This record gives sequence, C-alpha cells and structure tokens, in this order.
Amino acid sequence: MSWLTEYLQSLPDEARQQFFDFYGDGGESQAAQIGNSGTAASPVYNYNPNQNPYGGVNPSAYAGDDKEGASRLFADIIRAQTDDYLNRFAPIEDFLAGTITRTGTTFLEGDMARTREAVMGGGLAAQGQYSRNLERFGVMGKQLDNSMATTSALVGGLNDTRDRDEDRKLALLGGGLGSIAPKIRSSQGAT
Amino acid sequence: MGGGSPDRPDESEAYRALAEQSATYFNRYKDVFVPLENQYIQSVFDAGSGAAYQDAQNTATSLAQSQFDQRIGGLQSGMLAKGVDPTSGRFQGATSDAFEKLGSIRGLAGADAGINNTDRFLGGIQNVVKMGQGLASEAMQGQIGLAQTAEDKIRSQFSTDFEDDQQKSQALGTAAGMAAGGAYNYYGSN
Repeated sequence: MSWLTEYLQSLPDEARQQFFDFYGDGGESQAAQIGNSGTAASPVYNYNPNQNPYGGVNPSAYAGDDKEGASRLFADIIRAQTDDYLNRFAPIEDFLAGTITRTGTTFLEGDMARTREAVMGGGLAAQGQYSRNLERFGVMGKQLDNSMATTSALVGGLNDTRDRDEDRKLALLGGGLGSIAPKIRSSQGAT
Repeated sequence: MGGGSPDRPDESEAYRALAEQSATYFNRYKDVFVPLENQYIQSVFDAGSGAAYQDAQNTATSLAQSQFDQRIGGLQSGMLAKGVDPTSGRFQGATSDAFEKLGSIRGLAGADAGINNTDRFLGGIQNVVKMGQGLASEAMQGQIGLAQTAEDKIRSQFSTDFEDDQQKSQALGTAAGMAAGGAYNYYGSN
C-alpha cells in the first residue's frame, strides 16, 4: 500500500491524524486494548470496533506493469487483509485465549460472585415476602427461617457454576477457538 | 512497461483482471461489510457488560417471581377453601415451605441466567474469532432466547416442587384433620 502511505504523507498532520484516529494505523495486534475496566461480576470490556485499518486497494495501482502488476496487486490485498486481521480480530483471539485457565476460564470469578449474590438476594427477598404475605392474613411478626435452604441452594449453585465453567473451558478447547485451540492445548501439556 | 524483468513473460490479461476484481471486491468488503462486522463485534462486547448481566438476571428472577405468585396464590386459596386456618401450623408450614422454595429457585434462576449470559458472550466472541479466521459463524442466541430457556426451566422446577408440596400438605392435612377435627376452620368460625 505504498500509494496510500505516500498519499497520507502528503496530508497535513492534522488530517493524517484524523485518518488514523478513524481507521487505525495498521500494524501489530492491539491485544492490550481489550481489557475489563469494570469488576469481575460487572464487567466493562474496552474494545474499539470502529478500527478500519486500511483505506482500500486501488485496482489500477499497477495498471502499467504488465509483468508483475497483478501479483503486486494481490500482494497489496493480502497485506491489507493481514492488517485487518491483526487490528480487528487478533486482539479478540488473544482475549479469548487469555480467558483459559488451568481449571476453567477467567469468567469463573464473575459467575461465582453473581451466583452468590443472586442466591443470597433470593433468600432475603423470600424472607421479606413471607412476612408480608402472612400479614395479609392477619398473622403478624412471622419470620421465615430459610437459612438452611439458602445455604443448600448456595452450595449447589456454586458447584454448578464451577462445573459449567469447566465445561465451558472444554467447549472452547474442543473447537470454539478455531485454529488457536490446538496451540493452547499443546501449551497446557495436553495431547 | 513496468517493474519486472524483461525476460519474464507478461501476466495474462485474465490474471490481471482477476487481481483487479479481487481489489474491487476487497474494497466493497471494506465499505459495506467491515462496518457491519464492527457493529456485530460491538454488540458481542455489549452482551458481556454488567448491564447485560443485570438484564438477564432481572428477567429470570421476574419470571420466577411471577410463577411463584400464581402458585402460592393457588396453594393458599386451596387451603382456605378447605377451611384451613391461616394461624394454623399447617397453613404457615405450607406457606413457609413455599417461600423457602421461592428463595432458592429465584436465586438459582438468577445465577443460571448470569452463567447463560457468560456463555452467550463467549459464543459471540467465538463467532468473531471464526469471522476473523474466515470460518462460518453461527447465530448468537439473543436475550429473548435466553428468557424463554429460563422460563421453561423455572416453570418445570416450580411444577415439581409444588406438586411435592401439595402432596405433603395433603398428607399433613389428613393427619392434622384426624387429630384436630374441624377446630382449625378459621373462616367457618368467623
């Protein structure tokens, strides 16, 4: 894409910066840009999907080159596709691969926190509703002792959360990662 | 004309046309599909946000509550119709059991919705990875699909639990009725 580079160089600094701000500047994977700036239970992922790292390939760029014009044009297209992959998709592959841990995925922490919060919240909501329900029948001051039921639900819920996270890891390694799955499998010592 | 060695033959006209066509297609992809792909990628990351989890969990707990409200109403009306006194151990015991179930089912439904949302988010991420690798992508399950799954599970769980409860209540009611006769007929005495 030397024509693009030359064109961009000819632009005033401000216009060139606006171009890069809007389309991105190509180059290597920007994996570091995807991160969670929230908490595990309430994540906020940072990714800029407006990156469009190439400005197009001029079909007539090598029109005068009868010997290698088409090859050079194909080469430009391949480079542009590679830039696109590196800028828009490789960071997401890195993010997905980075979620795999030895025992499951990094999503486990958030899921456990949400399970804990949901079950404890459900128990508390039931207590309040029970007292109000009986008051409607003129029975005052009754408290629901659901601590055993809530504890039992919590233990079951947390175990289920952990099991499902392990399943999730297996599903990811079993093909959900596309061609990067074998790399992770081998890096973890699996065959 | 241009760059290559003079010994090399010219590229065929068809080959040059193919390269130009590829460049044109590529530009079309950039102009038309890249913005759409970016929208999809954004929606995938939105599905993994705290707000999406909150929505999914609120929907599930609301469904659980709605199912429970219908069933507790039916359970208590049934007992009242049979003359069971709300101050009685039978009435309060059945009510207490039901609310214990509510707490657990509501909590687990919320937890399940959270885990499903993580799966949904990861499913979307996997699709994006496949897009980047040029593989076919699968449809991402939407919130409506998740809500339907949650509703089916909750309905099934309440059905099982309430049938168990009602069988136990009937057994308890029979025993209590044998022991105490009609003494608990609250509405009958008012």
